[in-house]
Amino acid sequence: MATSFKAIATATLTSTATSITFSSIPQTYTHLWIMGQAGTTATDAPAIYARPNNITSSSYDYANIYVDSGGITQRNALNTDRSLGLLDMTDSTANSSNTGFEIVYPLYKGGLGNNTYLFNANSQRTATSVSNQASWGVSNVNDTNAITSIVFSLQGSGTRSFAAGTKITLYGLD
Amino acid sequence: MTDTPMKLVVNCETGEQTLEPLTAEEIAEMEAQAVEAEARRAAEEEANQIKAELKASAIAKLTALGLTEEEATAFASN
Repeated sequence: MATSFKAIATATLTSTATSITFSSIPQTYTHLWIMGQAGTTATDAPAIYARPNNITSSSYDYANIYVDSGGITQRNALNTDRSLGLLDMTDSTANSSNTGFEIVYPLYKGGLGNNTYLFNANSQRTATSVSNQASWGVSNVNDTNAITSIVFSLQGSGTRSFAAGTKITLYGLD
Repeated sequence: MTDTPMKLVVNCETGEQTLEPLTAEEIAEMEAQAVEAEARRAAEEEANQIKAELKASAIAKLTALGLTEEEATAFASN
């Protein structure tokens, strides 16, 4: 049972940004928990990537199940360069917070084995070309170091931006 | 003219939020990573698509042999 639950920091965008970084994460908790709501200015529904310690090498394994109007689909990969996009996002800039998500990083201080995490997300789209989507997944990153930073970015080539109104809060749990 | 891409950095020790422009090097690195990532993503999607097609093909063949669709799906999912 958690004896301490505290908001460490909140990132709030008042204008667009290509990435959001939580740096200097304190090493005084047992677990990390993230709640976020995000939108994008991109027009092709990119997924959100979350990378602990900004690791961009092929160090991730993931398994993911998502459901939308097309049914239930599973995706997985080994030795890839990302944690898996949390979810595809809307192609409408009018709704800047259509994707809600949570991520849990248990035992984030390292030294016990590879860092692992769990994520849940839902995407509520306003566009008619794509349907709402809910997603659950787990991921492993081949890194045993303490997580001291987490970088959020968007899938795809070119410069993609999170929309104003995007808000992500990092919590610490004991 | 395109706006300079920005990044938001939140220092968890101080709570300070800094919106900074990406340097030319960061932009180049980000674009290179994004191109590489997109190629990998496309390869993974293709691999997953092939798996799905193989499964569908297996189910079709099993049902042609007399299994129910439920039985064939269960068998092909193992």
